[in-house]
Amino acid sequence: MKEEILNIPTPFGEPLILYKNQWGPEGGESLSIVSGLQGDRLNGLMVASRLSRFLNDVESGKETGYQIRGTIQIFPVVNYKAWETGNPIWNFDSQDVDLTFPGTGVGELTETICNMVIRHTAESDYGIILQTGERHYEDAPHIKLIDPNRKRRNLARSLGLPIGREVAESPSLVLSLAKQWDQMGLHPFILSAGKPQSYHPQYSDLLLDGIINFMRAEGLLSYNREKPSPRKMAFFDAHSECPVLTRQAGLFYPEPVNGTVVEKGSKLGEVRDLYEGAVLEEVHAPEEGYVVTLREHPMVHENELVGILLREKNQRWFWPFG
Amino acid sequence: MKTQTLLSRASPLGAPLNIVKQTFPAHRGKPVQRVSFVSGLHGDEFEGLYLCHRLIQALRQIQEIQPEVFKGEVHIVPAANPPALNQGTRLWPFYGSDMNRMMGPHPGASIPVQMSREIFNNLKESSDLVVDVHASNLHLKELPQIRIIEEFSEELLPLALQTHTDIVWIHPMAGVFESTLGYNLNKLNIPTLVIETGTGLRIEPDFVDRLFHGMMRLLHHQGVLASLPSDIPSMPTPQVVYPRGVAQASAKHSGLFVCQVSLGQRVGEDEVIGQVLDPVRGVVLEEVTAPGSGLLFTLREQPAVHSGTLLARVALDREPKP
Repeated sequence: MKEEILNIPTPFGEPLILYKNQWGPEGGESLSIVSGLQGDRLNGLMVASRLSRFLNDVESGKETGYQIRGTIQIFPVVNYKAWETGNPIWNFDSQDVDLTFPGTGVGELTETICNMVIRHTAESDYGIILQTGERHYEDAPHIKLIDPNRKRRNLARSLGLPIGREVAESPSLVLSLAKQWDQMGLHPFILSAGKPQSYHPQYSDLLLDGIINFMRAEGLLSYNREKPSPRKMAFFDAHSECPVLTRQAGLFYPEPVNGTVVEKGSKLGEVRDLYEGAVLEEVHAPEEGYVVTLREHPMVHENELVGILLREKNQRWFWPFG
Repeated sequence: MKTQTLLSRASPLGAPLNIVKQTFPAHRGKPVQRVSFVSGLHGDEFEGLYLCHRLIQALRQIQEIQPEVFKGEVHIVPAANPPALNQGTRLWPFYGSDMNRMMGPHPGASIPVQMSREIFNNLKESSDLVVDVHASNLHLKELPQIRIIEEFSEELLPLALQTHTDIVWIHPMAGVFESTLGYNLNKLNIPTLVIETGTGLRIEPDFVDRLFHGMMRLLHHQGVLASLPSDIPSMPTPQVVYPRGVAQASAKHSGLFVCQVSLGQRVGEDEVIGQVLDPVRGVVLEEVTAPGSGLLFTLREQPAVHSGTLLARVALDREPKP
């Protein structure tokens, strides 16, 4: 069950040990779930822990009616050294783990860790990465998809989040775990909800429920009382994204619009002067759209990104037909 | 000299965020070539800033005394990442973003992305040749060297030889380069030389001296300067090393690395270059030996090492047989 996958002595203390949890028979469908790529993304860590407890209970018979049919692996912590400090990265090497894949078998610590994750997940059919919004931003719960072909969009639907969003191609994407999985033939899904340094219990419930539903839909987990519930997901390609920028520098006060559809011209927040409090600018939605990301940290520069809208006109619904 | 603000953003605290470019135009008519220097993309690398200072100082003098010497145009962006330079951190401090992993077609609209895009586009529009100056990180010290990705070596090597660095290292492509300034400009057929020298948060005046002379010679060779001041010495040709001509020593144990040699020294194969120690138990864990005979051009500066950590690189006198 809990298995040591890496044990490296540290220069002056206890060894660094990384673990994975594994359940189920080998040879069938297989799923790898990774959280803790950055040391401040709490929602993923909590979901991984809750999911491990659930699967332990299934295995021990406490969760009656369920049976594990495929191979399920969970890697709760990847960037161990960053988790020791609560920062997104390990300050010692200033390296974003999710810009370090596939890593190397023998090399610097972060590269070795990344390579270990790659080796342990290489045989999986599906990969799920648990994430939150970027630093200073909160994400409404959604699924990020690389190369979102029809099969992947259908698979994503059973994860139970309302929004699917294509990850735009970029030169640095190749260094991410999701892209590496994509190139290795896995179907990668990034589940993003909430913000760094913060635990959101409702989002945790939502993600847990979605992942269990996915495992049932893909035959990794069976349940003898009811079928997995059909889910609905609106999908937006990379061209649907509409960044919202400030015109003024100051303090941004957001409206409670994250995770909602806003009309063109709706107020998303306002920028006030840091020293005198005067309202410098009202920030409005440039188009109708779904607010998928909203600024959390109030201090903003001129022309700063304070939100991302997914344009409603670009959405495509994926209903549970068939 | 013309001072231009490449990009400016008002900040909530007051002082704006500015990136400055200095330009020395051709004395008359169309410039024979436009050469740009950029440094400080990483905020813990100061060697390039000092090099830019030397260049600006020397070019200003020439412009005052013999303006007709300028046949071409020189652009210098000494401090490409002012927030990080002010903090002495590799990454953009507020976001933890690496500006040299956002070059080329990078999505997003955060301030570091906007800044990277603006610098990239400006260099693309205003340069026939670019020199991107980096220091090493806080962990390693490097002899002045130019690094060239194999696929660009035919065009770049003749230029690199004019710079009189100690080493020109032609190395294979890797995913990590795809989002760098150098790779993306070279892909657009704007020859770009990437310099690595010294170590993080420090200045090696002797290294910068040599680079300054080399850059002045490069400007002369390219016809940008019709003549050189008499105090620019002639220098030896760099040693060119190909991928198989570089051997590296890595730590086999985690501990404290104490070095017994100096950077730039010639070492023999299996010569002891240092030890890895366990300071808690007072035990020598490992004698580190040179991986081959040649010039020691990279050396570990930060003594805390994990097993697998790079300790030294040697430019081999003879490439091993395949």
